[in-house]
Amino acid sequence: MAYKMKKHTIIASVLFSFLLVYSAPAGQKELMEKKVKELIELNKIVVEKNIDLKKYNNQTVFIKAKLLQVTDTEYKVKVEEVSAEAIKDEGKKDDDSVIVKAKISEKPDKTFYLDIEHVLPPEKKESDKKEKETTK
Amino acid sequence: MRTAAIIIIAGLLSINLFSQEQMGPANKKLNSINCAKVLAERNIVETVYGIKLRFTEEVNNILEGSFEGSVETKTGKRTIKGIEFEPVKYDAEKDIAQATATLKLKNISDIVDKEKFNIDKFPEKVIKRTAFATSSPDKARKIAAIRAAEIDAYKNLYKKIGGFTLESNTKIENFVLKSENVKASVIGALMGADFMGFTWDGEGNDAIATVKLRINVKELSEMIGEKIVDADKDFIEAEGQGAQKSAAASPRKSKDEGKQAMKTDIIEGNINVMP
Repeated sequence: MAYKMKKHTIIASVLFSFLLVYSAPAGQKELMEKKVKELIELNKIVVEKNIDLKKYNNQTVFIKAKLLQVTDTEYKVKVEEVSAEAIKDEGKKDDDSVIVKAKISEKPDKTFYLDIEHVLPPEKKESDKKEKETTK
Repeated sequence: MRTAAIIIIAGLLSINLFSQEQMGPANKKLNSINCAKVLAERNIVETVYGIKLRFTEEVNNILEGSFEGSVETKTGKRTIKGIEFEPVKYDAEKDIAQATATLKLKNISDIVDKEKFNIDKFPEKVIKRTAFATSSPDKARKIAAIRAAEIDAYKNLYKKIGGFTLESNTKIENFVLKSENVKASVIGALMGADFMGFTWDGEGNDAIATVKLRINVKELSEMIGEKIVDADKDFIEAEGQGAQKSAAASPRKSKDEGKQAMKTDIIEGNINVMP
């Protein structure tokens, strides 16, 4: 019974998260997708640099690390805790920090403004709006 | 009894909405200008006394990317005096006000802990912060996106100065990572950030705002008398991004609405906001 309840709760929360992501407006959705990619990529780099994959193969590993962004693409990583279901690991020592390179986002050159003339985004072109209306 | 209460609440809400819609141009103008000035003052407080940040970003990989992120900010109750305003700009056509607040550090020398902050070294230092505000809900969503981007930039700036914690549960299958849950979090406070500007990517309601913040690490280090971060650079910069809300939030009624605005110079005129 409890298992069934848990299963239902998981399914409901997954569906809710799905709805949250896909009901978001385009701009918000884009940012959320970008953030997901960034976090997954960053975690991948941190884990690969700090964990012996052979040792933890076919297991779920918990890792807790302190990160300091050194540059746009470099992070200083200090692993505080590593543990798995079967093997317990004390993790890296305090002074044992590594630099990982993580190119996780692209930053195109932009012109920044601080005036009322640019405070609103450009409006969608009329031709685009008409095209959308006709396709409807 | 319950039905009566619901009817009364609904009635009050509709009156409130109606009054918002009925706000005349003069009221809108005063409201927008006052809001912009208050926001500019808040920005000055954020720069001088700092902003408290608490953020978590979590990815659950069951769906290949369900994301939950939140950033909370708080600016403590602070006494500050000597804030001056540059002439406020107001675009009547778009109902947007721009206020720029300035503060000379020497003006707060008597309310700042001089043992902690060595502000006498920079007697001529002027802090300048700009804010925008509107009374029109459709424009408010866009201006709110700039603020969201600013908070994101604060968070990213903190990542470079104070760092953050990354926690993950990662499944390794056949020597390949299969990420399941990743969480990044931080609690900290940041002061001395300058707002460098904003830009927009995209058009209309889908446009994303990007804000750039910068900290003069060298100057701030001298001011507080300790090294902030192991960096050779004088400045640390960070960008943040913000999106517009899907539904227009109904603006809260200002307490000062209808009151006489503070005496300020206002530059009026048509400003071509939309390219």
